[in-house]
Amino acid sequence: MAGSVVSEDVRPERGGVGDVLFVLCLMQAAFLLLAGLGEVLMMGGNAAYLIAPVAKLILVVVLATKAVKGRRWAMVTLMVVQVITLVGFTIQNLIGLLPGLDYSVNLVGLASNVAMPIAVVYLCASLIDRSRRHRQVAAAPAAYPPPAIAAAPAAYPAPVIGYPVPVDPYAPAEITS
Amino acid sequence: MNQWQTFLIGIAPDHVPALLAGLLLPVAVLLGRRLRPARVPATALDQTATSPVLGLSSGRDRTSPGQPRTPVRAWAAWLLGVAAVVHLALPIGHSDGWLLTAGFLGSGAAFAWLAVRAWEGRTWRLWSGLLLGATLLAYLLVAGTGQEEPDQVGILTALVELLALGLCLMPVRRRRFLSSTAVVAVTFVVGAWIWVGSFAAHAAAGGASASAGDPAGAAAGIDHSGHDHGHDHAARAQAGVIMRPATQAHPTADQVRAADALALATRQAMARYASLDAALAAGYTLPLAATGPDVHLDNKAYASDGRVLDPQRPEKLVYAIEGGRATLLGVVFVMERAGVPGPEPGGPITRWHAHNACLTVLPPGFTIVDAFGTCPALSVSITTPEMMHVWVVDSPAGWFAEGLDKEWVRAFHAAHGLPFTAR
Repeated sequence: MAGSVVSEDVRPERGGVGDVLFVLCLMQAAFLLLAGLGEVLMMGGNAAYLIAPVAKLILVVVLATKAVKGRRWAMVTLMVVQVITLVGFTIQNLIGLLPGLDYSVNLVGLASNVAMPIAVVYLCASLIDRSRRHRQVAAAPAAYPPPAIAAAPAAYPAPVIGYPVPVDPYAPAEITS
Repeated sequence: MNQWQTFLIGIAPDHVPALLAGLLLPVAVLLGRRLRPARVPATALDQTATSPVLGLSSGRDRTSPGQPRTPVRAWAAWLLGVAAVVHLALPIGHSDGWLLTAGFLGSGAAFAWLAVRAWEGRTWRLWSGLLLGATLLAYLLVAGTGQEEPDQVGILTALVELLALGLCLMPVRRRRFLSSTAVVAVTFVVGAWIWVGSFAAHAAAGGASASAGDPAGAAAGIDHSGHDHGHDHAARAQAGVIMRPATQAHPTADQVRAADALALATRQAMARYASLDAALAAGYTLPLAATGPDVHLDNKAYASDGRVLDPQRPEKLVYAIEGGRATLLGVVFVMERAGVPGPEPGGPITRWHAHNACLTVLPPGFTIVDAFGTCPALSVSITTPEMMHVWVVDSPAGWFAEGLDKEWVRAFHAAHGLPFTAR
């Protein structure tokens, strides 16, 4: 995956977008844990119901950790995960429109199921965009190539140790008498 | 109830000013920045300090006296700002004592001060962390002790504060694992606490409002159930339970008589199902988990027979089943279609509720939506049809309580349980 790794120079800085992204993902992980443990309790303590939530939790946290370190593939995968969440929310709404079924929307649900995934997608996109721009700048040829340094002629006198002071040929001669 | 009605029910009326204030904050800030005369940044540092997150230009910003405005600072400033205006606007809707009002105003002012500090690049983390922690703790205390019914505005504000707290904790790179664990743990505890608190408020409200034979008690229960300001309990957290707000606070004499009649008719009709075997013979089926203090038996034929609130044909029966004995506790009337409100012959005594449930596929199962409005992974959320309990036993909670105390049920079951043959 070396090709997909953003160079160390573009690693998100401290207090940067990556940190915000990481906190949002941690909160999503907490949501997953809460919902998963709630289902375990509802289903009589069957720990099998923790498998999917914990798997997604680990996925989100690992991806967030890698994204903070500047891994482009992690940012893309995180975006995909969030888009799937958004698609799932849309499908729920559509199912709720079927006759005999209903689906409830509330403020907090919108924040956690829509606003937060959108925020994560936006932050990932901005990180990717930033890394792409940085790589473009790094790959661009220099406008003014550095001047070539001419080799010193062989007959050039050996340097004098002791920092000789050059003599100004146009300086007026000293009056000696 | 359509989706829009459910959405609005989740917002407590006394929190509407705070919600509006929070929503209007970005508009007010952006408008203020537009109207303010432009200032040219003094240094190149100010130009590089532009927030790339929120898309705000620093061309009009005041010269930053501290550190550059990183995205974390910008996000924290906005989040603290939202918390500030919400707290400052809360006294408008709340009619609290002077102490709580002063607390709201004081915390709002402190949040605003910290938001400005974060925006201007000054130190903000320590005091913000302490204030956010204290505010969340105070909210959990009032929500957990029944002094305030958690609603969507309260939970959303807690969510905003949790995110801000996470930003306070996160920059400690050398202790990243510790701070990450703290963010997850605090978010989990806050969510679990609100979830449990909302259920406790729901159970308490149902129990208090359940006495059809005692309208004064029922009215008192409704008044003091979830919110101590005279509002009815409406499960506004919508964490697994969705209710319509009561249309009236006190039942009329006719409504009390109607509720009594419904309860008595149900008791008389259900006497034939005192034995679990009789219920099974009549078409009720046991669930997979067939033991416990509140085992629900479904009758699929009655669920789609077109009859509503028929004491002769309740859609579900509730038994306590333990130790080879069963005790009929009550029935659950269920509406045939989700989203269709059930009739309320007893007014505020006979209230219906629905559940917003999550159906999971791996493995197949179900749970309820949590306090943050989320479901487990790989699940679909739906809202069930409305339902109403009518208990046929003389419990302290009354005939129309949302649930019965499990200890009381166990004691009652030990004394009245009947053996059954079905397995």
